Amino acid sequence: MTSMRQRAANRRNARASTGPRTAAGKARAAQNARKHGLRVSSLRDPAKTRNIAELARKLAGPMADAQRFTAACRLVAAQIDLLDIREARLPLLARALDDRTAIKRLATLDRYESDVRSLRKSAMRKLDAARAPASTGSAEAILRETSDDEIDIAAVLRQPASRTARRRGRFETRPLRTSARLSANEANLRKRSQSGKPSKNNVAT
Amino acid sequence: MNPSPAPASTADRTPVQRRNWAGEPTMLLGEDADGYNELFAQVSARLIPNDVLEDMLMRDVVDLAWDVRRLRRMKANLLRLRARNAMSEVLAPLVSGAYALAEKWSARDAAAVGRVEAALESAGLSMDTVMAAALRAEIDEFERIDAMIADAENRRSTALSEIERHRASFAQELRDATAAAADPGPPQPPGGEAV
Repeated sequence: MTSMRQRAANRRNARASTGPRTAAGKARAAQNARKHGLRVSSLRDPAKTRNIAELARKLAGPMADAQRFTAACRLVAAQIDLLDIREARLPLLARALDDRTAIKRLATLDRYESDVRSLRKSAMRKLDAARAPASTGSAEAILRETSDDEIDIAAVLRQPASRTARRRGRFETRPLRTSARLSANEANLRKRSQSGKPSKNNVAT
Repeated sequence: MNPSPAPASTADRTPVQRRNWAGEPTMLLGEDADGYNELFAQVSARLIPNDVLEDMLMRDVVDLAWDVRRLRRMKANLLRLRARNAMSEVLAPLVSGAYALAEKWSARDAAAVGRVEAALESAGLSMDTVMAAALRAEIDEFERIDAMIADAENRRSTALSEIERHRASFAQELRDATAAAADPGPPQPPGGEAV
């Protein structure tokens, strides 16, 4: 059993080490679990979102509506992810003959590539479906509609990911949804116990 | 004033000129860049991409075709590399010093090659047996490579289908636009508004 003295020492030590304190330290510790980052969409990377938006604007055209711009953002992000994955394959391909694990890792990257290609295909189809508006209306009005203030990259991120991506946990939306659902269930249970209503599962027979 | 350079034909276009959206080609050390460029020129001459999306997809077709070649080469090299161990394994019950003999055979030592062939023949075996042993030893790796080759081939045909679909969608858009221009709506009665 832990003595009082040991317990006090543990508490003292714990106070001395409470994780990183500086912003730089916290940023570094936040990446502790990161292995390669290839499963995270470029849309999640703040350093890349500006470039994605710029490229998407060029791709969608100056008079694109929000739907077309969103599809273009997704397409550009998927293309960037695809290029990252293909670049990550190179060192593995180079040592595949000597290193047995390299082929296994290549097969894993192949799976990531399939997911990204699927997202890109879907974005490409949406971009094709959301055709650029015809320039028959007032160009000024159309440009006003798609001004920089209106185009919000965060809106692209807020939109639900595709079914495939959710299944693979690509955007990690599932844990958030599950926790939200759990707290809703807890709230319901609490309400029931306060009102004295028996739960469906606890009805005496 | 300097004359503007003549536009390059599709076949002359090098991959580097159209890499903004598709990235640089992923080449390994020792790979034949000219072979890649030739493949790119052949595919682009046939497909003639019209926009960025087609360019992306065409680059996919080229890269994936290159990948298939690369993976097939890797599979053959892997089989060749593992053949030495497999030869040593096959020779072990037939001759003494099987490992050393297999090493020499792998280095194409003429005397060793002769001894190996004689030993295999005496036991009623052939090089097929050795290759089968090599394949069995690394079956998981070969399966993975085969799966990657199949994936690359599927992706290549998907990219081609996507180009076709994209072109059909664009053609439909053009048809709609020309139909709307040709048919301006019901005729207006002269000197008054339509009732």
